[in-house]
Amino acid sequence: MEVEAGGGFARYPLDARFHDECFDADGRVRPAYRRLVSQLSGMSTDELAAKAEALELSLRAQGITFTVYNAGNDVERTFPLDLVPRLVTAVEWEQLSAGLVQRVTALNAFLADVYSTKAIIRDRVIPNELVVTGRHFTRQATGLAVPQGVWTHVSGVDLIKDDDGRWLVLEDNCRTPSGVSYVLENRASMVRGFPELFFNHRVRPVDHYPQALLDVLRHIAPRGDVDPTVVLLTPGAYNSAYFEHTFLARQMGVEIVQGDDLFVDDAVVYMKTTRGRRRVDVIYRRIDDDYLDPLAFRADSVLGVTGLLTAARAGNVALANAVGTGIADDKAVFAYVPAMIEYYLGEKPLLDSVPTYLPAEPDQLDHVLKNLPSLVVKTVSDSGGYGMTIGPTATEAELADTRRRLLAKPRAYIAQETIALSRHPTLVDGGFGPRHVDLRPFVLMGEDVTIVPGGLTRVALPEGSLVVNSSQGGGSKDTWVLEGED
Amino acid sequence: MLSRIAEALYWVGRYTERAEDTARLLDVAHRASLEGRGGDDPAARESIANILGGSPVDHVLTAYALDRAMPESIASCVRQARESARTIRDAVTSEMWEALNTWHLAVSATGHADLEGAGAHRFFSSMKERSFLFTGTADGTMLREEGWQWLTIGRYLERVVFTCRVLGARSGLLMIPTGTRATASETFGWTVLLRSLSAHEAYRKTYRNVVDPRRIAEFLLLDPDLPRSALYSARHVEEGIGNVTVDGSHARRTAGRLRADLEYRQVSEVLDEGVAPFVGRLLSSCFEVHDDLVTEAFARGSVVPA
Repeated sequence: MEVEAGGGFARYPLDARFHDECFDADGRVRPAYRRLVSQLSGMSTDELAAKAEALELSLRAQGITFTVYNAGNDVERTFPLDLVPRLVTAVEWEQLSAGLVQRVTALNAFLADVYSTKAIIRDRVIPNELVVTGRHFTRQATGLAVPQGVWTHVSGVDLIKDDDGRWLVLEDNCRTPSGVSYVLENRASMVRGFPELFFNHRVRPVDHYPQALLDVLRHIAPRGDVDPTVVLLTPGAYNSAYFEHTFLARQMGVEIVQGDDLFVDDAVVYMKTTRGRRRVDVIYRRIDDDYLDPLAFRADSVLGVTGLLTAARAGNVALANAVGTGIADDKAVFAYVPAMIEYYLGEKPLLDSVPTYLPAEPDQLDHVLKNLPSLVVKTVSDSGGYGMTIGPTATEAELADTRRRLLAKPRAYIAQETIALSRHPTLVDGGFGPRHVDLRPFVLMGEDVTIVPGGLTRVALPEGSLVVNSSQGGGSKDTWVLEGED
Repeated sequence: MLSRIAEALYWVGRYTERAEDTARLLDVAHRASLEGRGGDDPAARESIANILGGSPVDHVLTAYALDRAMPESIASCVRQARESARTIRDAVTSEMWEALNTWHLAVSATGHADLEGAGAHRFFSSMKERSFLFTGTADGTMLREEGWQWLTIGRYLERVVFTCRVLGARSGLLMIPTGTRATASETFGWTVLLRSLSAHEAYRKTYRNVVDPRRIAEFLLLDPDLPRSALYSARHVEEGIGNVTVDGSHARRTAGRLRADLEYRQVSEVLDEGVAPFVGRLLSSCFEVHDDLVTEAFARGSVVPA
């Protein structure tokens, strides 16, 4: 099947197994993409290459890199930015963002509940066993009164589109999701390097994110009567997301601190300055719970601040996100999010999730075992694609092994339908080719829930690859939410 | 300001200054080696090692320019400056970071072959230009808050140290009794010395007559208007430290003493004492200032007072 576009699109292959973001099944350009395709198809290979090089140079000069850990020889790489933006129509975005607001509101209510009265467990909507055995269920968070009732100040919700072009939630990230700096820098680079694309499109801006985040952080300051001191707590310059930490701190105009810049005295947090101590009110922490406070969590942590949790419990400092939020993005809990939405909000879920089965439930175990070759089996505790069996590509031996492990330890696994990720035109070898994409919007919760239009579109650059992770050949795209047509 | 950030900015100031000073010194040495005696002769090689630290090596120019295993090399200084800035990206402006980062990339992309023939001068010039670009960018984009002060303190303290080192290594040239007729090689040496501190033209402008060792010593140590003189730089160190420390701090006292030692000094006293012992004393004062900053302002391991 050929597409109805020339230039770099001349040999663009369509594949009926996947939804293409830009072309419909008959090869016609989708209406939202018409202007973009007509502009891009008018450009020569040389022009495209020059644009791509300008974008890469812009990223490199700004030092927008992440660190690849490599046996003592860490390398800084840029996260490649593809020059074809991903478009989301106004109508699509309204539906999507309504679904995200609903979902994150329910997740926040769930956290407030499981660390206090556990009503959702008492009402048998979600099994107690499933919650309390979760790797990230945090007893230290029980009874915690978080400022303004907010637990998940920043969430990243990973979305994909299936072969019908339907949005599905793949996972929630309620701890310290990263990637938003790429959203902002990608836009800046595109405006700088490819301004002519913006002439024909009305793109909703994204650069108010840091201000929105700062508003959230100031909203949760425990001392209402003083101008709060907000800091960003980073594990340090060798963390792969360090660029993002400094970027956000600078954009918000707050101090970026490391564990040894802070200390706790009489349950109050201070930072060390050239003129003595200064009290800290709000900590946007980009350190995992485990490393936050060696007294409360891992004693061998050198990244955290001794006594920090005591200060938080005493209400003298606010942490964003709160401790214990990891239970909300537990892979098994994921299966119950639709039920949570109905339980807390009395609403039907606006967004579908990737169908997920829990082998721990006897009737579902049966279904999983019967359909193993078509399912993806993931361990509940691992992330980043580890401990995964992909049914359609697994060998007989691997499937047999997975079957054994499922029967032995059903709570340790979930199974999900395999989804044919949608594809999007991407610059490859001088022309455009289809590559798989996902989307991570960032949801902020403070006084209200706000979402910066779009989010981070990640793209798997190697042909046929489904892995969008930056460490494994992933790149990104600027994501454009278009203003509605007048 | 956070102690850690103040310290990192201070080091950015020191390392960028050191990279520039080293480039200038090597550029002049390279030129001298072409004109007369210099880089290739063992004495000159040794004197470069005396100034820059480290032990004398073969291929002194390329080693001090590019050898990343040598902490004294330009490549190492730029890398350290960039690493310090990287840990505090939020405390430098984007433009400063870009200037520093492209500087680092330019050094990394330079190989030994690039320093052959006319390449050496081109490389050292570009290193000075990169430093000017960084300094100018900082000057034009950075808020005049505490961070600026720390960057400035680092830069000027390094400059006092560097000027003292150069003078210490070449002190023999300056201890010639006035009135004796200078040999051609002495005259040449004085020119090289002045050029090493970017002071040759300024000297001509200020004194308008023959190059005289006594005046060179006076100019490089005690001139209030020469940007690389010890006095000019020490004044900036004292001023910066006065702006960021509290009354009664040790660093304030040691920086004041360093400046006063130069401010009220006559060149005849310096020559009576001997240039080498005099600059040796100045260097000790510089190290004292540094140590005081580390304990007081950078709060290394100390209890933070209320």
